[in-house]
Amino acid sequence: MGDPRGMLLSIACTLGGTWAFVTGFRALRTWRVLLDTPTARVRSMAMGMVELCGQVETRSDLRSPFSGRECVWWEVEISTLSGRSRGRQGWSVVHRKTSGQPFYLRDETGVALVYPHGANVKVNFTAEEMTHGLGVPEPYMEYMEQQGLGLRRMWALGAMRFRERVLEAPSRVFVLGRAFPRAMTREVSFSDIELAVTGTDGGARTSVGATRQGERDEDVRGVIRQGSGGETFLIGQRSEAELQLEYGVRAFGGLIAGPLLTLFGLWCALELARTGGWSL
Amino acid sequence: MHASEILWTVVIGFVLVGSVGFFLSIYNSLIEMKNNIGRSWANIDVLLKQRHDELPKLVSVCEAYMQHERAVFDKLSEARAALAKAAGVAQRSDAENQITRAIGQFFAVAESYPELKANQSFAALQARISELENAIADRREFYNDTVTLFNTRLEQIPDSWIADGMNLQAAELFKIDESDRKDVAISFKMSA
Repeated sequence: MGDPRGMLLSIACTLGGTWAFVTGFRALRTWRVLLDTPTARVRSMAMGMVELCGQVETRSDLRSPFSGRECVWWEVEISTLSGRSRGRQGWSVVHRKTSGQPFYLRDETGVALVYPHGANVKVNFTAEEMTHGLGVPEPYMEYMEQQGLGLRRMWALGAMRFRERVLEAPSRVFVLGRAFPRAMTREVSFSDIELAVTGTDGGARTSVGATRQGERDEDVRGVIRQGSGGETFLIGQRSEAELQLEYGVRAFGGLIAGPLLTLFGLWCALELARTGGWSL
Repeated sequence: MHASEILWTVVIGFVLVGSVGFFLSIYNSLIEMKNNIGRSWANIDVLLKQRHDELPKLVSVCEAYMQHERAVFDKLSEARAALAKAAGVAQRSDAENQITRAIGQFFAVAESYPELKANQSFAALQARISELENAIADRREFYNDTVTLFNTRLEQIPDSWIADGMNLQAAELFKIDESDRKDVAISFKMSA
């Protein structure tokens, strides 16, 4: 019988190192884009890859599902405690959801509309709560019911972790994404009376939220969203310099440490094979 | 195959893949930056074209009011003629600075014609040209940032080795007019 611990370690190191090497290249690409794209101003931004800095502003009434905080973007994550070999335990994510509502980004020169769908949002967890089995608090259970999570009652019997990240207005953020021209809208009628005659809801235009939203949309200089082909799309509360450092470390860490880890894994495997420790 | 041979094969494999990948990432990013410079310049050009289209309208609105100001009209048309002959970024930026200066003088002179200032078409044109000037200034700054990043990369190692192989040349900055750099003399006449 071989050494299963050694075999597992060598396999984990070989695969992990190769994975780190591949992801190092992806981080290198993002790092290059961050380095090579100068920060533009909203007023004069050109269509294509842009980097903007500004304050986020709400476009629609949005509240985070767990804490009920007013925000422009949220992400929730539900994990259960899973048992692993040799008594070690770890959290495994069973549900993750992100809001997709667009929000405004304002700098000193104008307003842009950001569609966060598909973005890599760099925001720290703002709320985290753990339960220790036999039920979960009402708001979490309500959320799981709304989402139709079939295994919620079974999960609730064990320990669970609920995490939430929110981006609140008026936070200052850094956005790197593709700019598109804003969609053009045309008024077909200016009169609420005319709309009322047609049976449509003319009064809705004069409600506070609807009016404010329409006015801001007119000021929008462009729309920032994810480009095609998995292009870099970053939204972060950290500064550009911090993001450059993070991606630089990830890139060079992956490209240097990855191969070393793979070599170590292979060396372990070869040593095990030589000493007869690699057998089932 | 010995263990050491296997390990060396893997080392060489990683070095090869890593080197090729790293080289490609530099090559691609240099190409992307070169294209970004072209795009940034084209984005300035769009606004310059819009500003040029506004100038004849401005002249036609003001002609009736400023009949004794032949010199400012001449300067404006001279600047436009210089722009038509300009080729390359350096000459183009010189000609554009000349136009900016001529427009500034034009508006300064127009200040002394209250009837002209009250004209709605003139006010609209003035606002439109000012808006375009601001946007041009922003885009010029962006263009210069892009060029500076590109030129810096061309001088850095190992990018410079690859750039030499690609025969890439440093790009020209869109320079501002020397007269804009001069200090403005401000004097206050204080009564005793």
